[in-house]
Amino acid sequence: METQQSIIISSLQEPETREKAFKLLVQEYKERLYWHIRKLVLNHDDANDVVQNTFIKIHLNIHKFKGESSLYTWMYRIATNESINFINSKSTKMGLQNQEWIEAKAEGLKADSYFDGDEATLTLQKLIAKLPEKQRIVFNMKYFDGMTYQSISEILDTSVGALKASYHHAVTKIKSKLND
Amino acid sequence: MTDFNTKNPFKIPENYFKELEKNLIENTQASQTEHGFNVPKNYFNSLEETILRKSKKSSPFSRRKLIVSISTLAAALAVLFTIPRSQNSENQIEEQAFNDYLESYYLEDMDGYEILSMLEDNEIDPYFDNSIKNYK
Repeated sequence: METQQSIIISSLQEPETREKAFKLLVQEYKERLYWHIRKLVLNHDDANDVVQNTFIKIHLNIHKFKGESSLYTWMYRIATNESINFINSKSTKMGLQNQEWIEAKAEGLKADSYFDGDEATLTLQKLIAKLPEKQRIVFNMKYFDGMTYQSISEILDTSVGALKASYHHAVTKIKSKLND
Repeated sequence: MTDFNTKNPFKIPENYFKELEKNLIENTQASQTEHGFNVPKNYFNSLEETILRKSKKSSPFSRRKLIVSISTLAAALAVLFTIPRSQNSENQIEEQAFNDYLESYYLEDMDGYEILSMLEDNEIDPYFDNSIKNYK
């Protein structure tokens, strides 16, 4: 795995092999990054914009990747930051707080042609949208993506203890709302 | 959270693996779903093409930096050509400088999404081509 990653990175950093290596990178990670982004921005068109910008940023910044984390962690971090920037930008433009914008998106899921979850899934998404941003991101990564606290810690640059607290708070809030 | 147990709730149809190849081909043409979210048919194939096309256009000089640089250059040229020609147009110069300041401040304060949302692809390429020609 380590060797494969170093081969990909060195191929991406060489002008002659860069294009081919980037194509492999897109093939390998496009779906994983898309689904991560989609769960953060909720809407397909928005996720499509963000995933494209994420890969363009990866393409432009691959020479800055120093190998201090895994390539996947680095890309996941870019995808997360791009999603947050996108939400900031959209909500500011509409004069809303980030959370208000996300809640509005979650409310719109029922009418979204690219959402076919049942009532329980829809309810869960609406409750997730009510969480503070950090808790929402941690909850998605832990609950849906099944990531370890260690991986989330590297991506979000937050201590494992703080992440555990965030996840615990998120679960408690969701449980409490479900019991109402 | 037991109502939303994520521990392997999925089953497969009988004889699924015997028809794996056929299913794989069909799956590439069907929309995909994850936790209630789905995507248009063939989305991931077209996504790959779009990303690769855009990545070929992108360069270490980001579009934002390019646009801001062009605006700054244009503002500097406008001021340069305005000053010697009109000695009694101080108000116009001040107004121009104020507008340039507002424009550059506005662009600096915007992120890539906002700037790109104001431009079409065919508007970006001529900027890029012209900037290259100017520096030849």
